[in-house]
Amino acid sequence: MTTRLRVLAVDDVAPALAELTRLLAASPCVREVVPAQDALSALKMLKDATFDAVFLDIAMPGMDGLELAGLLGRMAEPPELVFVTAFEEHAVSAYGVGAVDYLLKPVAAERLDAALGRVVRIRGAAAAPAAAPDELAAVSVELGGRIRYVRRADVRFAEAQGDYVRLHTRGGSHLVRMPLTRLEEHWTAFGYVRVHRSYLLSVPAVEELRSDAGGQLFAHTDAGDVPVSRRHARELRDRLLEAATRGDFVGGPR
Amino acid sequence: MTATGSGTPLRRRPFRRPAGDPTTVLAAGVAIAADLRGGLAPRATDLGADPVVRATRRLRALLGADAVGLADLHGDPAWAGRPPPDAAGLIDEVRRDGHRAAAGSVVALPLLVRGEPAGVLVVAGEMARGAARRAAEWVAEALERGRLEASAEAAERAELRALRAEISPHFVYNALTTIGAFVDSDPDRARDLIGDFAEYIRHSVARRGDYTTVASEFGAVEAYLALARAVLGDRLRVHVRIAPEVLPVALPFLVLQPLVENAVQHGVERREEGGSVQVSGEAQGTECVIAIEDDGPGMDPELARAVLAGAAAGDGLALTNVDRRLRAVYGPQYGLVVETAVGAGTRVVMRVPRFQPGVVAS
Repeated sequence: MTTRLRVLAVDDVAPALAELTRLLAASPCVREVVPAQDALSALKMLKDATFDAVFLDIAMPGMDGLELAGLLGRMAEPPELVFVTAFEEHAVSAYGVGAVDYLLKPVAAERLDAALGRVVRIRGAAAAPAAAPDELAAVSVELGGRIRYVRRADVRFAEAQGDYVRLHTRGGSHLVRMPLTRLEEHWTAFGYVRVHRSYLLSVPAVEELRSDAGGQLFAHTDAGDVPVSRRHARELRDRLLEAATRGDFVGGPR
Repeated sequence: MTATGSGTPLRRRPFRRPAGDPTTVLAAGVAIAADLRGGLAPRATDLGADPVVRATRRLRALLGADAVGLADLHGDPAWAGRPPPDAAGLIDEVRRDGHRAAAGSVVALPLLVRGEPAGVLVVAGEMARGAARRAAEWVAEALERGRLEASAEAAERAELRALRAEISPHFVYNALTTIGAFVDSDPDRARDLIGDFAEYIRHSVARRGDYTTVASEFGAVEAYLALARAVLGDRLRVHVRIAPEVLPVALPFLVLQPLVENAVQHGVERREEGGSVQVSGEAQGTECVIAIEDDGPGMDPELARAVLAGAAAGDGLALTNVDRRLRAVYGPQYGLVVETAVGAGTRVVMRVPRFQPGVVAS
């Protein structure tokens, strides 16, 4: 089901472009990266070949990123747009021209992967319009020789353990033979987010974010604490902010 | 028979009696000064709502004049009553020469603010000797007061903005030196720290609007702490706890981060054995409560009070700044609360309303 992407990277600062190209090329979702050092050469490349996504700097001499994005919007089948910029000020205009994501410089590999994940999901959905059946709304587990089902809604977080995944619920945990990546693939659309190499976390299950003396960040849930890697912290905070803005957390006196 | 009667060719328009009652006069004076607070340039398209036009009407009633006009240094004057035909010429004359000009019962007077021309007052009609001159003085004084108020407000805004742009150069150099040291020994960590440094700086120099979210402020605090941990190593022990429901709460830029920096500087950095800092954010009813606590040397509560009042120079500048900005935005009951004693550490608590009209993160 993997869609491997052809990506155009545009930035006028040579080292920044080299770094962006290197990070993109290192991702398994990317088939090919083409670098462009200004908007005009980017336009030429877009004319000559098709791209799945454009990673675009905003502040560039001559035509800037937002102007180039405006032109892209008029293409018959425009590539997905991800802005890569130093300033948060442009975020509103960026989403206004239909960007799927907005990355701040310097870009961390995990944040770039999250953006690529978004592009893959959008491209994948476009290629296969039939919605995939919700296969993993419940997961079968073996308990004392009997098969039982764990509902996704009860799972606060999932932990990779070798070839297995441990599903943590309020009532206890269950071991399932399955890679964490498969669960992530199916559960991302249902409020789960990867917060660590070995952990997938339900965003609404978070009761508190904590960091300990050594700087390790944890998400506290009623089924236990989940370690959050520094590199996933921003993504988790953004997701929590979205959920809290929607009113998913009522809060009040504790 | 009397000499006067209907049809007499000499009959004048009825003389407008000046408002004689002192209460009325004082009230009119205060209202005129308020109307002119924003200067002489007309602002409202609806003349009835324009404060300068309103001021001319009050002046006309006060003086019992046929017409009163107020002109800026350029552009058309605002009028109460029918503008006399000579007015335009007189205004030009005053603007050019800076002296009183008169034609018949129409007088145009320069308005001098601190000796500089600021506009022209035109008065038409019969009135008491010196009344026009007194009125011009009053108007000039009102204009001067308006300018002083405006510059005081601008100064306060500039000060608030300057307060939030304080980045400690000491910290910046320490952070850069530390990152530099990691470039060879631990390049991944150096790369992460550069990301943290970028976030710290980005948040500190943000120029969008006046407000941010608790989420973004805590993000900057995390970035700062990651750098501070790299600089201070094991000497710095920080615990942060934040409840997700307060993440969207809007608050002024850089009210939390300076307090955390302050706790690290005073509670940890200056002690050889280091120290611990606890930061927490949670919802309590309709308020978001944020607390920053260190186990450092603390201070005399009297000194803490003086620091908050801005009376003690130096050390607690961050506290004073944040306290003043919180009060300015949310009202006096939302100032910082500082609990401290000598040798007992310091706990700073800030409460902000979770939802405050007009306080919206950009």
